[in-house]
Amino acid sequence: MKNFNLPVLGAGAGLRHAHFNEIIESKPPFNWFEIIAEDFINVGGWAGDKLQEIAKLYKIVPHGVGLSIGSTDPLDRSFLRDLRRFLDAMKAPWYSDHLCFTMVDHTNLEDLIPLPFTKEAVDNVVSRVKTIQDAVGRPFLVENVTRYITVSDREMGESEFIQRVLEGADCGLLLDLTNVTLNSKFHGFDAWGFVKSLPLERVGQIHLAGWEGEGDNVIDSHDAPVPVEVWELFKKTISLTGPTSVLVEWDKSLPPVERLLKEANMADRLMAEMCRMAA
Amino acid sequence: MTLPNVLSTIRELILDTDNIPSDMALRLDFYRKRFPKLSAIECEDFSKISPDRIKTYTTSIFVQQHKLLEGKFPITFAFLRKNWSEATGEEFDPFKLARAVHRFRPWSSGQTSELVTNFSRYIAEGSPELLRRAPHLPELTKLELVAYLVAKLPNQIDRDLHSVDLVDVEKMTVGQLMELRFVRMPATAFERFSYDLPGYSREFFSAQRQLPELAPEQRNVSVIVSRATDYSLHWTELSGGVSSYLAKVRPNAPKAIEELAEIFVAEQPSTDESELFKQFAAKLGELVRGGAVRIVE
Repeated sequence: MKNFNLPVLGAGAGLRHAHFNEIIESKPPFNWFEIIAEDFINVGGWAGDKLQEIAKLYKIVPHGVGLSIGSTDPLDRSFLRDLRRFLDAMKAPWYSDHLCFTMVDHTNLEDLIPLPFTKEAVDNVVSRVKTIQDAVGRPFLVENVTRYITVSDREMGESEFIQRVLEGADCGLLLDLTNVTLNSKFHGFDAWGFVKSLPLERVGQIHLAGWEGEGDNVIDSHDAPVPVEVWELFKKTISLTGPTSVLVEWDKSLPPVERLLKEANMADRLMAEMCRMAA
Repeated sequence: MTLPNVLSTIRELILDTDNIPSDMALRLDFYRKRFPKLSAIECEDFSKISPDRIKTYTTSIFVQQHKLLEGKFPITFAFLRKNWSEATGEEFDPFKLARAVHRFRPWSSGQTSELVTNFSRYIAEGSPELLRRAPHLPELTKLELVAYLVAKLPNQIDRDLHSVDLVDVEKMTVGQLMELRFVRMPATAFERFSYDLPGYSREFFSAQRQLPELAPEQRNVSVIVSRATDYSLHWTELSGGVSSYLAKVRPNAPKAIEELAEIFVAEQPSTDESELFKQFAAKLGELVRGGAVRIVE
């Protein structure tokens, strides 16, 4: 298995409202766009209409932030039905969300909160991911999150936790290399060693983003160019995974579309270089 | 380890706990007393977490919520920034405000519309000191809430119903117009205001987001809120009878224009038929241009 048997779309970018008009007018040569599904489900008006226009021009892959995969609250079945309809309408080749929880005790934290690395949490996530995969009717990827805290690593570390979830639920991995790099700074481990320890044949997509701050005092802000050390980790990762679908995330302090395209082109160029070298 | 207890503890630490001890031994004691459902090992694990790292989440969550709310309630926030300290004796702190909204009513779903509604209710019910100074504030947040909801409502058009152009309608005789039908568009909402807040909102945006003076006299205004084809929002004033009637009409279900006209005419002081028709046609045109209704064959 390679790329979790998913199509390789090359490098794309996160699609944000502020860029809609420019993208429709100038049709920049992006391979594909990722959207936050929750921003568009059951949404009409300007945003809904513009998305329809862009979906006629580009491949769109929705990505989620709200399934709360690791929660102990029941899954929202009604949301899953709406999500399925939306993914079908977008002809989404896969769907992804974060390996974390965002809601518990029916309270929305609206942030990606890390889980304890325990067998109980693995079992809970595995069972929920199986339900989600059935509900969305297409391959599902879980994304490793930035974690400013370690809730518990007595039973296993993050790498083993991810591995057990992927194998238990038979799902894919959306490997966020910025999150790996940040976590290696926060918790003092080797980012490349971490990446190598993962089942890379299950990586269906990679995320790259910039951060805010310096040293240990950084925030996963998605508001800056991809840092050099993340590009380096990306090159090494690609040497093992081969070409894959890569996404440059830029959510705040948005740059002009042209600058975003430059980041995506950089990812494509590095991917081509690494694959030439490997061949 | 019991997962539900652990996740609940994290939630409480991030959203509702201000003073986690900085000393690790004190923290262990704090966790044992504050969270009796946690096991000894779980308390030990939590005591290893730096309170500053937990605060990173707290800050991020409430800053994001504040930004989201300010984006949806620009006029309310402009008002709060200008008047908060005089009304409450404290500096305006949007982070604290977002936390106060959470304490008033936690956000219990994944829907942004719920958080936005919670804020509107907090302003109406949870801040009496502000209301004494600004009794119009609950209506102002309601106006912005409705604007947000109508702006994003899906507006499916029933393609089987053939639209009649307003230009053609304007050339019609009374008889011809009364033979046509109309549908209420799905992206519409009904509101009543004691103040002229639609006017206040228009002035705010046309004056580069400077707060205008609010007309002191109270009016009981019924409006239909709608979205035009260029996505602009419209607040069309309606008489009480017309508003009640339109609110009962199911979206996209055709109704006779004659029915609407009868209700409209019954509430007008004039008895001059030609004048009444002019007034009705003008109101109908306003509703069509604002995207509230569509005239169909």
